[in-house]
Amino acid sequence: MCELLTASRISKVFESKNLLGWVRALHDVSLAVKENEFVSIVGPSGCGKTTLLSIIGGFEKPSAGELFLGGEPIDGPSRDRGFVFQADALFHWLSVEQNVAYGLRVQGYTRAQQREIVERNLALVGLTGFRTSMPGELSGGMRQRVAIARALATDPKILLLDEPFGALDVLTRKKMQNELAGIWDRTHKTVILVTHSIEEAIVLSDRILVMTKSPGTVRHSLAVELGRPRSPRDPQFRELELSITELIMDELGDEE
Amino acid sequence: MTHQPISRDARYRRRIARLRAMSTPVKVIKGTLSILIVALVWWAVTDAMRLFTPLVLPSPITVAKAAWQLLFDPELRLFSGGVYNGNLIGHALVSTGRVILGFSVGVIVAVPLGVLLARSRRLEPYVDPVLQILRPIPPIAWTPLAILWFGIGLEAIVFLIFLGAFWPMLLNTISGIREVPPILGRAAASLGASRRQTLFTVVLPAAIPFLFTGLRLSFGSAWITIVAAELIAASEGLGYLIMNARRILAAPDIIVGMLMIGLLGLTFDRLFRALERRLYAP
Repeated sequence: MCELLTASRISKVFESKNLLGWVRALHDVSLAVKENEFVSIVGPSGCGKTTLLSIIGGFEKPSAGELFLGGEPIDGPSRDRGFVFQADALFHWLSVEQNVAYGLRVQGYTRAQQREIVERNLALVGLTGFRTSMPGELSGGMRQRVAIARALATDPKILLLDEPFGALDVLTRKKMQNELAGIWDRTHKTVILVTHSIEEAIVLSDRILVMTKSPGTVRHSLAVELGRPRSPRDPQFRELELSITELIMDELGDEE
Repeated sequence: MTHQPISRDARYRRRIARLRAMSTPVKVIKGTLSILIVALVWWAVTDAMRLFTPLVLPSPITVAKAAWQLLFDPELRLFSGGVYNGNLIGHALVSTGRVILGFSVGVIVAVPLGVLLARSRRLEPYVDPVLQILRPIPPIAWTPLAILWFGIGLEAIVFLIFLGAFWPMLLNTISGIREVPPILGRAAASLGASRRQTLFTVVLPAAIPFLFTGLRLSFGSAWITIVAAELIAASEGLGYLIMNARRILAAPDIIVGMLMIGLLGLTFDRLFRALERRLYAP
Protein backbone atom coordinates (compact mmCIF):
# COMPACT_ATOMS: atom_id res chain seq x y z
CA MET A 1 0.00 0.00 0.00
CA CYS A 2 1.42 3.33 -1.04
CA GLU A 3 1.11 6.62 0.71
CA LEU A 4 -1.81 8.61 -0.67
CA LEU A 5 -1.42 11.79 1.34
CA THR A 6 1.80 13.22 2.67
CA ALA A 7 2.24 16.40 4.62
CA SER A 8 5.76 17.43 5.44
CA ARG A 9 6.83 19.98 8.02
CA ILE A 10 3.60 21.98 8.00
CA SER A 11 3.56 25.14 10.10
CA LYS A 12 0.81 27.68 10.40
CA VAL A 13 1.06 31.12 11.95
CA PHE A 14 -1.98 33.32 12.46
CA GLU A 15 -2.03 37.05 13.05
CA SER A 16 -3.10 37.78 16.59
CA LYS A 17 -3.80 40.66 18.92
CA ASN A 18 -1.39 39.33 21.55
CA LEU A 19 1.96 40.95 22.40
CA LEU A 20 3.83 39.16 19.64
CA GLY A 21 1.28 40.01 16.98
CA TRP A 22 1.07 36.41 15.87
CA VAL A 23 0.27 32.97 17.25
CA ARG A 24 1.66 29.64 16.14
CA ALA A 25 -1.19 27.20 15.50
CA LEU A 26 0.84 24.39 13.94
CA HIS A 27 4.50 23.64 14.23
CA ASP A 28 6.41 21.24 12.04
CA VAL A 29 3.63 18.71 11.47
CA SER A 30 4.39 15.78 9.23
CA LEU A 31 2.08 12.92 8.47
CA ALA A 32 1.43 10.29 5.84
CA VAL A 33 -1.81 8.46 5.16
CA LYS A 34 -1.93 5.26 3.16
CA GLU A 35 -4.55 4.35 0.64
CA ASN A 36 -7.69 2.89 2.32
CA GLU A 37 -6.39 3.83 5.74
CA PHE A 38 -8.64 5.35 8.40
CA VAL A 39 -6.62 7.84 10.44
CA SER A 40 -7.94 9.83 13.37
CA ILE A 41 -6.41 12.94 14.86
CA VAL A 42 -7.17 13.49 18.54
CA GLY A 43 -5.98 16.18 20.91
CA PRO A 44 -7.16 18.86 23.30
CA SER A 45 -9.06 21.92 22.09
CA GLY A 46 -6.75 24.49 20.55
CA CYS A 47 -4.10 21.99 19.46
CA GLY A 48 -4.61 22.94 15.81
CA LYS A 49 -6.24 19.73 14.61
CA THR A 50 -9.04 21.54 12.80
CA THR A 51 -6.52 23.98 11.29
CA LEU A 52 -4.50 21.02 10.05
CA LEU A 53 -7.58 19.51 8.41
CA SER A 54 -8.50 22.87 6.82
CA ILE A 55 -5.02 23.02 5.33
CA ILE A 56 -5.34 19.48 3.98
CA GLY A 57 -8.75 20.49 2.62
CA GLY A 58 -7.06 23.40 0.84
CA PHE A 59 -9.20 26.05 2.56
CA GLU A 60 -6.16 27.54 4.25
CA LYS A 61 -2.58 27.82 3.10
CA PRO A 62 0.22 26.59 5.35
CA SER A 63 2.80 29.20 6.40
CA ALA A 64 5.50 26.62 5.67
CA GLY A 65 5.66 23.04 4.47
CA GLU A 66 4.29 20.99 1.61
CA LEU A 67 1.33 18.72 1.02
CA PHE A 68 0.85 16.12 -1.68
CA LEU A 69 -2.16 14.01 -2.56
CA GLY A 70 -1.34 11.13 -4.88
CA GLY A 71 1.88 12.91 -5.88
CA GLU A 72 0.10 16.17 -6.80
CA PRO A 73 0.72 19.24 -4.63
CA ILE A 74 -2.35 20.50 -2.75
CA ASP A 75 -3.27 24.02 -3.79
CA GLY A 76 -6.78 25.03 -2.82
CA PRO A 77 -9.91 22.94 -2.34
CA SER A 78 -10.77 20.32 -4.92
CA ARG A 79 -13.11 17.43 -5.56
CA ASP A 80 -10.19 15.09 -4.73
CA ARG A 81 -10.88 15.78 -1.06
CA GLY A 82 -14.40 15.35 0.26
CA PHE A 83 -15.08 17.35 3.39
CA VAL A 84 -17.66 16.99 6.16
CA PHE A 85 -17.88 19.91 8.58
CA GLN A 86 -18.86 20.02 12.23
CA ALA A 87 -21.44 22.72 11.60
CA ASP A 88 -24.37 22.07 9.32
CA ALA A 89 -23.10 22.79 5.80
CA LEU A 90 -26.00 21.35 3.81
CA PHE A 91 -27.59 23.56 1.18
CA HIS A 92 -30.84 24.07 3.05
CA TRP A 93 -32.78 25.28 0.00
CA LEU A 94 -32.11 21.98 -1.79
CA SER A 95 -33.74 18.63 -1.04
CA VAL A 96 -31.72 15.70 0.32
CA GLU A 97 -31.22 14.17 -3.12
CA GLN A 98 -30.34 17.56 -4.67
CA ASN A 99 -27.74 18.05 -1.94
CA VAL A 100 -26.18 14.67 -2.63
CA ALA A 101 -26.31 15.33 -6.38
CA TYR A 102 -24.75 18.80 -6.08
CA GLY A 103 -21.13 17.78 -6.71
CA LEU A 104 -22.18 15.59 -9.63
CA ARG A 105 -24.26 18.41 -11.09
CA VAL A 106 -21.45 20.98 -11.04
CA GLN A 107 -19.06 18.39 -12.44
CA GLY A 108 -21.39 17.82 -15.39
CA TYR A 109 -22.63 14.26 -14.81
CA THR A 110 -25.74 13.30 -16.79
CA ARG A 111 -29.12 13.12 -15.05
CA ALA A 112 -29.14 9.34 -15.28
CA GLN A 113 -25.67 9.07 -13.75
CA GLN A 114 -26.65 11.50 -11.01
CA ARG A 115 -29.78 9.52 -10.15
CA GLU A 116 -27.91 6.24 -9.97
CA ILE A 117 -25.06 7.58 -7.81
CA VAL A 118 -27.42 9.49 -5.48
CA GLU A 119 -29.52 6.36 -5.04
CA ARG A 120 -26.45 4.29 -4.14
CA ASN A 121 -25.07 6.80 -1.64
CA LEU A 122 -28.38 7.44 0.08
CA ALA A 123 -28.74 3.67 0.50
CA LEU A 124 -25.22 3.61 1.95
CA VAL A 125 -26.15 6.07 4.70
CA GLY A 126 -29.62 4.58 5.13
CA LEU A 127 -31.64 7.57 3.99
CA THR A 128 -33.32 6.23 0.85
CA GLY A 129 -36.75 7.11 2.26
CA PHE A 130 -35.81 10.77 2.76
CA ARG A 131 -34.85 11.60 -0.83
CA THR A 132 -37.29 14.45 -1.21
CA SER A 133 -37.09 15.79 2.35
CA MET A 134 -35.63 19.21 3.01
CA PRO A 135 -32.61 19.40 5.37
CA GLY A 136 -34.68 21.47 7.83
CA GLU A 137 -36.99 18.50 8.31
CA LEU A 138 -34.20 16.14 9.38
CA SER A 139 -32.55 15.60 12.75
CA GLY A 140 -28.94 16.65 13.31
CA GLY A 141 -27.68 13.07 12.91
CA MET A 142 -29.57 12.57 9.67
CA ARG A 143 -28.22 15.85 8.32
CA GLN A 144 -24.66 14.71 8.95
CA ARG A 145 -25.43 11.43 7.18
CA VAL A 146 -26.61 13.46 4.17
CA ALA A 147 -23.37 15.47 4.37
CA ILE A 148 -21.37 12.22 4.33
CA ALA A 149 -23.36 10.90 1.36
CA ARG A 150 -22.82 14.21 -0.44
CA ALA A 151 -19.07 14.07 0.15
CA LEU A 152 -18.88 10.42 -0.96
CA ALA A 153 -21.04 10.88 -4.08
CA THR A 154 -18.26 12.51 -6.11
CA ASP A 155 -15.92 9.66 -5.18
CA PRO A 156 -13.09 11.76 -3.68
CA LYS A 157 -9.66 10.20 -3.17
CA ILE A 158 -9.83 10.98 0.52
CA LEU A 159 -12.61 11.92 2.94
CA LEU A 160 -11.85 14.59 5.54
CA LEU A 161 -14.16 14.61 8.57
CA ASP A 162 -13.89 17.60 10.89
CA GLU A 163 -15.61 16.59 14.16
CA PRO A 164 -18.63 15.52 12.13
CA PHE A 165 -20.54 14.38 15.21
CA GLY A 166 -19.33 17.13 17.56
CA ALA A 167 -22.67 18.94 17.56
CA LEU A 168 -24.77 15.83 18.25
CA ASP A 169 -26.00 14.56 21.60
CA VAL A 170 -24.16 11.62 23.18
CA LEU A 171 -26.53 8.84 22.15
CA THR A 172 -26.92 10.01 18.55
CA ARG A 173 -23.18 10.39 18.44
CA LYS A 174 -22.57 6.75 19.42
CA LYS A 175 -25.09 5.61 16.87
CA MET A 176 -23.37 7.69 14.19
CA GLN A 177 -19.97 6.22 15.10
CA ASN A 178 -21.31 2.74 14.41
CA GLU A 179 -22.97 3.90 11.20
CA LEU A 180 -19.69 5.41 10.02
CA ALA A 181 -17.84 2.20 10.93
CA GLY A 182 -20.37 0.32 8.79
CA ILE A 183 -20.01 2.76 5.90
CA TRP A 184 -16.23 2.45 6.06
CA ASP A 185 -16.46 -1.36 6.06
CA ARG A 186 -18.40 -1.17 2.81
CA THR A 187 -16.30 1.48 1.06
CA HIS A 188 -12.79 1.33 2.57
CA LYS A 189 -12.42 4.99 1.61
CA THR A 190 -9.26 6.72 2.85
CA VAL A 191 -10.37 8.88 5.77
CA ILE A 192 -8.89 11.45 8.12
CA LEU A 193 -11.15 12.10 11.09
CA VAL A 194 -10.58 14.95 13.52
CA THR A 195 -12.28 14.32 16.84
CA HIS A 196 -11.88 15.00 20.52
CA SER A 197 -13.54 11.72 21.41
CA ILE A 198 -10.88 9.08 22.03
CA GLU A 199 -13.53 6.37 22.01
CA GLU A 200 -14.73 7.49 18.59
CA ALA A 201 -11.17 7.40 17.28
CA ILE A 202 -10.60 3.85 18.59
CA VAL A 203 -13.92 2.53 17.24
CA LEU A 204 -13.10 3.78 13.75
CA SER A 205 -9.39 4.06 13.09
CA ASP A 206 -6.50 2.02 11.83
CA ARG A 207 -4.18 4.61 13.29
CA ILE A 208 -4.54 7.44 15.78
CA LEU A 209 -2.41 10.56 15.76
CA VAL A 210 -2.20 12.38 19.08
CA MET A 211 -1.66 16.12 18.82
CA THR A 212 -0.48 18.42 21.57
CA LYS A 213 -0.90 22.08 22.22
CA SER A 214 1.46 25.07 22.01
CA PRO A 215 2.95 24.48 19.68
CA GLY A 216 0.38 22.30 17.92
CA THR A 217 2.15 19.27 16.60
CA VAL A 218 1.69 15.53 16.16
CA ARG A 219 3.39 13.92 19.17
CA HIS A 220 2.38 10.25 18.88
CA SER A 221 1.15 7.85 16.24
CA LEU A 222 -0.56 4.69 17.50
CA ALA A 223 -1.75 1.76 15.41
CA VAL A 224 -5.08 0.29 16.54
CA GLU A 225 -4.73 -3.47 16.21
CA LEU A 226 -8.16 -4.54 17.41
CA GLY A 227 -10.50 -6.62 15.24
CA ARG A 228 -13.55 -4.94 13.76
CA PRO A 229 -16.26 -4.30 14.76
CA ARG A 230 -14.85 -2.89 17.97
CA SER A 231 -16.62 -2.69 21.26
CA PRO A 232 -15.76 -0.38 24.17
CA ARG A 233 -16.49 -3.43 26.41
CA ASP A 234 -13.33 -5.08 25.14
CA PRO A 235 -10.61 -4.78 27.86
CA GLN A 236 -7.97 -4.05 25.20
CA PHE A 237 -10.17 -1.21 23.94
CA ARG A 238 -10.34 0.21 27.48
CA GLU A 239 -6.60 -0.13 27.91
CA LEU A 240 -5.87 1.74 24.69
CA GLU A 241 -8.39 4.44 25.59
CA LEU A 242 -6.71 4.92 28.97
CA SER A 243 -3.23 5.10 27.57
CA ILE A 244 -4.22 7.70 24.96
CA THR A 245 -5.99 9.70 27.66
CA GLU A 246 -2.82 9.57 29.74
CA LEU A 247 -0.71 10.73 26.81
CA ILE A 248 -2.91 13.77 26.37
CA MET A 249 -3.15 14.48 30.11
CA ASP A 250 0.64 14.28 30.48
CA GLU A 251 1.10 16.90 27.81
CA LEU A 252 -1.50 19.14 29.38
CA GLY A 253 0.27 18.69 32.74
CA ASP A 254 3.56 19.90 31.27
CA GLU A 255 1.94 23.05 30.13
CA GLU A 256 0.35 24.03 33.43
CA MET B 1 -28.72 15.53 27.21
CA THR B 2 -30.47 12.44 25.99
CA HIS B 3 -33.13 14.09 23.88
CA GLN B 4 -32.76 15.06 20.26
CA PRO B 5 -31.79 18.73 20.16
CA ILE B 6 -34.56 20.85 18.68
CA SER B 7 -33.17 22.51 15.62
CA ARG B 8 -33.59 26.21 14.96
CA ASP B 9 -35.58 25.43 11.84
CA ALA B 10 -38.02 23.25 13.74
CA ARG B 11 -38.65 26.04 16.22
CA TYR B 12 -39.07 28.53 13.40
CA ARG B 13 -41.55 26.28 11.62
CA ARG B 14 -43.55 25.84 14.80
CA ARG B 15 -43.80 29.60 15.25
CA ILE B 16 -45.04 30.00 11.69
CA ALA B 17 -47.60 27.27 12.29
CA ARG B 18 -48.85 29.05 15.43
CA LEU B 19 -49.22 32.29 13.52
CA ARG B 20 -51.14 30.51 10.79
CA ALA B 21 -53.27 28.77 13.38
CA MET B 22 -54.57 32.18 14.51
CA SER B 23 -57.48 31.72 12.16
CA THR B 24 -57.76 34.09 9.20
CA PRO B 25 -61.43 35.11 9.85
CA VAL B 26 -60.54 36.29 13.37
CA LYS B 27 -57.69 38.39 11.97
CA VAL B 28 -59.95 39.86 9.28
CA ILE B 29 -62.62 40.76 11.86
CA LYS B 30 -60.08 42.43 14.16
CA GLY B 31 -58.52 44.30 11.24
CA THR B 32 -61.87 45.54 9.94
CA LEU B 33 -62.88 46.60 13.43
CA SER B 34 -59.77 48.74 13.90
CA ILE B 35 -60.35 50.52 10.58
CA LEU B 36 -64.00 51.12 11.52
CA ILE B 37 -62.97 52.62 14.86
CA VAL B 38 -60.56 55.06 13.19
CA ALA B 39 -63.27 56.05 10.69
CA LEU B 40 -65.76 56.50 13.52
CA VAL B 41 -63.45 58.79 15.49
CA TRP B 42 -62.72 60.71 12.32
CA TRP B 43 -66.45 61.07 11.66
CA ALA B 44 -67.05 62.09 15.28
CA VAL B 45 -64.55 64.97 15.24
CA THR B 46 -65.74 66.23 11.82
CA ASP B 47 -69.42 65.68 10.93
CA ALA B 48 -70.67 64.99 14.44
CA MET B 49 -68.81 67.53 16.60
CA ARG B 50 -67.56 69.89 13.90
CA LEU B 51 -64.19 70.42 15.60
CA PHE B 52 -62.54 71.19 12.23
CA THR B 53 -63.77 73.11 9.26
CA PRO B 54 -64.29 70.81 6.24
CA LEU B 55 -61.73 72.90 4.38
CA VAL B 56 -59.00 71.57 6.68
CA LEU B 57 -60.31 68.14 7.58
CA PRO B 58 -63.29 66.91 5.59
CA SER B 59 -65.46 64.15 7.01
CA PRO B 60 -64.94 60.51 5.95
CA ILE B 61 -68.23 60.66 4.10
CA THR B 62 -67.11 63.59 1.98
CA VAL B 63 -63.85 61.81 1.28
CA ALA B 64 -65.68 58.61 0.30
CA LYS B 65 -67.88 60.62 -2.09
CA ALA B 66 -64.80 62.27 -3.56
CA ALA B 67 -63.13 58.87 -3.96
CA TRP B 68 -66.19 57.54 -5.76
CA GLN B 69 -66.21 60.45 -8.18
CA LEU B 70 -62.44 60.41 -8.76
CA LEU B 71 -62.61 56.70 -9.51
CA PHE B 72 -65.70 56.50 -11.69
CA ASP B 73 -66.67 60.01 -12.72
CA PRO B 74 -63.59 62.27 -12.72
CA GLU B 75 -65.17 64.89 -15.02
CA LEU B 76 -67.52 65.91 -12.21
CA ARG B 77 -64.54 67.16 -10.21
CA LEU B 78 -63.53 69.90 -12.59
CA PHE B 79 -63.06 72.87 -10.34
CA SER B 80 -63.34 76.43 -11.42
CA GLY B 81 -59.69 77.21 -10.67
CA GLY B 82 -58.34 75.85 -13.94
CA VAL B 83 -57.66 72.54 -15.60
CA TYR B 84 -57.76 69.74 -13.08
CA ASN B 85 -57.15 66.20 -14.20
CA GLY B 86 -58.79 64.15 -11.47
CA ASN B 87 -58.58 60.75 -13.10
CA LEU B 88 -57.44 58.76 -10.04
CA ILE B 89 -56.91 55.46 -11.84
CA GLY B 90 -54.93 57.17 -14.57
CA HIS B 91 -52.68 58.90 -12.05
CA ALA B 92 -52.21 55.69 -10.09
CA LEU B 93 -51.22 53.79 -13.23
CA VAL B 94 -48.73 56.47 -14.22
CA SER B 95 -47.13 56.45 -10.76
CA THR B 96 -47.00 52.66 -10.60
CA GLY B 97 -45.43 52.45 -14.03
CA ARG B 98 -42.73 54.96 -13.07
CA VAL B 99 -42.01 53.13 -9.83
CA ILE B 100 -41.66 49.78 -11.60
CA LEU B 101 -39.30 51.31 -14.15
CA GLY B 102 -37.05 53.10 -11.62
CA PHE B 103 -37.17 50.18 -9.23
CA SER B 104 -36.15 47.70 -11.95
CA VAL B 105 -33.20 49.83 -13.02
CA GLY B 106 -32.19 50.27 -9.35
CA VAL B 107 -32.28 46.54 -8.67
CA ILE B 108 -30.49 45.64 -11.89
CA VAL B 109 -27.63 48.00 -10.98
CA ALA B 110 -27.57 47.35 -7.22
CA VAL B 111 -27.49 43.54 -7.15
CA PRO B 112 -24.39 42.93 -9.32
CA LEU B 113 -22.60 45.87 -7.69
CA GLY B 114 -23.50 44.56 -4.21
CA VAL B 115 -22.27 41.06 -5.10
CA LEU B 116 -19.03 42.51 -6.44
CA LEU B 117 -18.43 44.66 -3.36
CA ALA B 118 -19.28 41.85 -0.94
CA ARG B 119 -17.01 39.34 -2.68
CA SER B 120 -14.03 41.54 -3.45
CA ARG B 121 -12.03 42.60 -0.43
CA ARG B 122 -9.66 44.52 -2.69
CA LEU B 123 -12.29 46.77 -4.27
CA GLU B 124 -14.09 47.60 -1.03
CA PRO B 125 -11.65 50.17 0.47
CA TYR B 126 -11.88 52.24 -2.71
CA VAL B 127 -15.62 52.15 -3.23
CA ASP B 128 -16.82 52.12 0.36
CA PRO B 129 -15.97 55.77 1.28
CA VAL B 130 -17.85 57.06 -1.77
CA LEU B 131 -20.87 54.97 -0.87
CA GLN B 132 -20.75 56.09 2.75
CA ILE B 133 -20.89 59.76 1.70
CA LEU B 134 -23.61 59.33 -0.93
CA ARG B 135 -25.82 57.00 1.08
CA PRO B 136 -27.15 59.47 3.70
CA ILE B 137 -28.31 61.89 0.97
CA PRO B 138 -32.06 61.31 0.66
CA PRO B 139 -33.24 60.86 -2.94
CA ILE B 140 -35.42 63.96 -2.57
CA ALA B 141 -32.31 66.09 -2.04
CA TRP B 142 -31.31 65.09 -5.56
CA THR B 143 -34.48 66.60 -7.02
CA PRO B 144 -33.07 70.03 -8.00
CA LEU B 145 -30.07 68.41 -9.63
CA ALA B 146 -32.31 65.86 -11.37
CA ILE B 147 -34.45 68.65 -12.82
CA LEU B 148 -31.31 70.49 -13.92
CA TRP B 149 -30.00 67.38 -15.65
CA PHE B 150 -33.15 65.89 -17.11
CA GLY B 151 -35.80 68.63 -17.00
CA ILE B 152 -39.29 68.06 -15.65
CA GLY B 153 -40.50 64.73 -16.91
CA LEU B 154 -40.11 60.98 -16.89
CA GLU B 155 -36.28 60.89 -16.84
CA ALA B 156 -35.92 63.04 -13.74
CA ILE B 157 -38.55 61.06 -11.86
CA VAL B 158 -37.15 57.68 -12.87
CA PHE B 159 -33.71 58.88 -11.80
CA LEU B 160 -35.01 59.82 -8.35
CA ILE B 161 -36.87 56.51 -7.96
CA PHE B 162 -33.76 54.71 -9.09
CA LEU B 163 -31.85 56.36 -6.22
CA GLY B 164 -34.62 55.47 -3.78
CA ALA B 165 -34.57 51.83 -4.84
CA PHE B 166 -30.82 51.54 -5.26
CA TRP B 167 -29.56 52.05 -1.70
CA PRO B 168 -31.69 49.56 0.24
CA MET B 169 -31.09 46.96 -2.45
CA LEU B 170 -27.33 47.55 -2.51
CA LEU B 171 -26.93 47.41 1.26
CA ASN B 172 -29.10 44.31 1.64
CA THR B 173 -27.28 42.55 -1.18
CA ILE B 174 -23.91 43.29 0.45
CA SER B 175 -24.98 42.07 3.89
CA GLY B 176 -26.88 39.13 2.41
CA ILE B 177 -23.81 37.88 0.56
CA ARG B 178 -21.54 38.51 3.56
CA GLU B 179 -23.88 36.63 5.92
CA VAL B 180 -23.67 33.43 3.87
CA PRO B 181 -21.71 31.03 6.11
CA PRO B 182 -18.23 30.51 4.58
CA ILE B 183 -18.52 26.74 5.08
CA LEU B 184 -21.22 26.62 2.39
CA GLY B 185 -18.70 27.99 -0.09
CA ARG B 186 -16.05 25.61 1.21
CA ALA B 187 -18.44 22.69 0.86
CA ALA B 188 -19.21 23.67 -2.74
CA ALA B 189 -15.50 24.06 -3.56
CA SER B 190 -14.67 20.64 -2.13
CA LEU B 191 -17.45 19.17 -4.29
CA GLY B 192 -15.76 20.55 -7.40
CA ALA B 193 -17.70 23.79 -7.95
CA SER B 194 -15.84 26.66 -9.62
CA ARG B 195 -15.98 30.16 -8.12
CA ARG B 196 -18.64 31.10 -10.63
CA GLN B 197 -20.71 27.98 -9.95
CA THR B 198 -20.38 28.60 -6.22
CA LEU B 199 -21.70 32.13 -6.66
CA PHE B 200 -24.74 31.16 -8.70
CA THR B 201 -25.65 27.83 -7.11
CA VAL B 202 -24.73 28.45 -3.47
CA VAL B 203 -24.01 32.05 -2.47
CA LEU B 204 -26.95 33.73 -4.21
CA PRO B 205 -29.54 31.08 -3.24
CA ALA B 206 -28.31 31.22 0.36
CA ALA B 207 -28.72 35.00 0.32
CA ILE B 208 -32.29 34.92 -1.00
CA PRO B 209 -33.95 35.96 2.29
CA PHE B 210 -31.77 39.07 2.43
CA LEU B 211 -32.31 39.78 -1.26
CA PHE B 212 -36.05 39.63 -0.76
CA THR B 213 -35.90 41.95 2.23
CA GLY B 214 -33.86 44.21 -0.04
CA LEU B 215 -36.50 44.04 -2.78
CA ARG B 216 -39.28 44.86 -0.35
CA LEU B 217 -37.48 47.76 1.36
CA SER B 218 -36.28 48.98 -1.99
CA PHE B 219 -39.78 49.01 -3.43
CA GLY B 220 -41.09 50.77 -0.32
CA SER B 221 -38.39 53.40 -0.65
CA ALA B 222 -39.09 53.80 -4.37
CA TRP B 223 -42.76 54.27 -3.60
CA ILE B 224 -42.01 56.97 -1.03
CA THR B 225 -39.67 58.67 -3.46
CA ILE B 226 -42.11 58.78 -6.35
CA VAL B 227 -44.74 60.70 -4.46
CA ALA B 228 -42.20 63.24 -3.27
CA ALA B 229 -40.71 63.51 -6.76
CA GLU B 230 -44.12 63.97 -8.35
CA LEU B 231 -44.97 66.74 -5.91
CA ILE B 232 -42.23 68.76 -7.58
CA ALA B 233 -41.25 67.48 -10.96
CA ALA B 234 -44.30 66.03 -12.69
CA SER B 235 -47.46 66.86 -14.57
CA GLU B 236 -49.29 63.65 -13.77
CA GLY B 237 -49.20 60.91 -11.14
CA LEU B 238 -50.54 60.59 -7.60
CA GLY B 239 -48.08 63.11 -6.15
CA TYR B 240 -49.14 65.60 -8.80
CA LEU B 241 -52.81 64.89 -8.04
CA ILE B 242 -52.29 65.70 -4.37
CA MET B 243 -50.30 68.83 -5.09
CA ASN B 244 -52.87 70.06 -7.59
CA ALA B 245 -55.72 69.34 -5.20
CA ARG B 246 -53.99 71.49 -2.59
CA ARG B 247 -53.67 74.31 -5.08
CA ILE B 248 -57.45 74.39 -5.49
CA LEU B 249 -58.06 73.68 -1.78
CA ALA B 250 -59.71 70.30 -2.46
CA ALA B 251 -58.90 68.61 0.85
CA PRO B 252 -61.04 65.50 0.13
CA ASP B 253 -59.07 64.89 -3.05
CA ILE B 254 -55.77 65.21 -1.16
CA ILE B 255 -56.90 62.56 1.29
CA VAL B 256 -58.17 60.27 -1.48
CA GLY B 257 -54.79 60.53 -3.19
CA MET B 258 -52.98 59.75 0.07
CA LEU B 259 -55.17 56.73 0.80
CA MET B 260 -54.57 55.47 -2.73
CA ILE B 261 -50.81 55.72 -2.17
CA GLY B 262 -51.16 53.80 1.09
CA LEU B 263 -53.32 51.07 -0.44
CA LEU B 264 -51.04 50.57 -3.46
CA GLY B 265 -47.95 50.45 -1.23
CA LEU B 266 -49.60 47.85 0.96
CA THR B 267 -50.66 45.79 -2.05
CA PHE B 268 -47.13 45.67 -3.46
CA ASP B 269 -45.64 44.80 -0.08
CA ARG B 270 -48.07 41.88 0.20
CA LEU B 271 -47.21 40.75 -3.31
CA PHE B 272 -43.51 40.63 -2.44
CA ARG B 273 -44.18 38.71 0.75
CA ALA B 274 -46.33 36.18 -1.10
CA LEU B 275 -43.65 35.77 -3.77
CA GLU B 276 -40.99 35.28 -1.12
CA ARG B 277 -43.02 32.57 0.61
CA ARG B 278 -43.61 30.85 -2.71
CA LEU B 279 -39.91 30.87 -3.64
CA TYR B 280 -38.47 30.19 -0.25
CA ALA B 281 -40.78 28.08 1.87
CA PRO B 282 -39.20 27.80 5.34
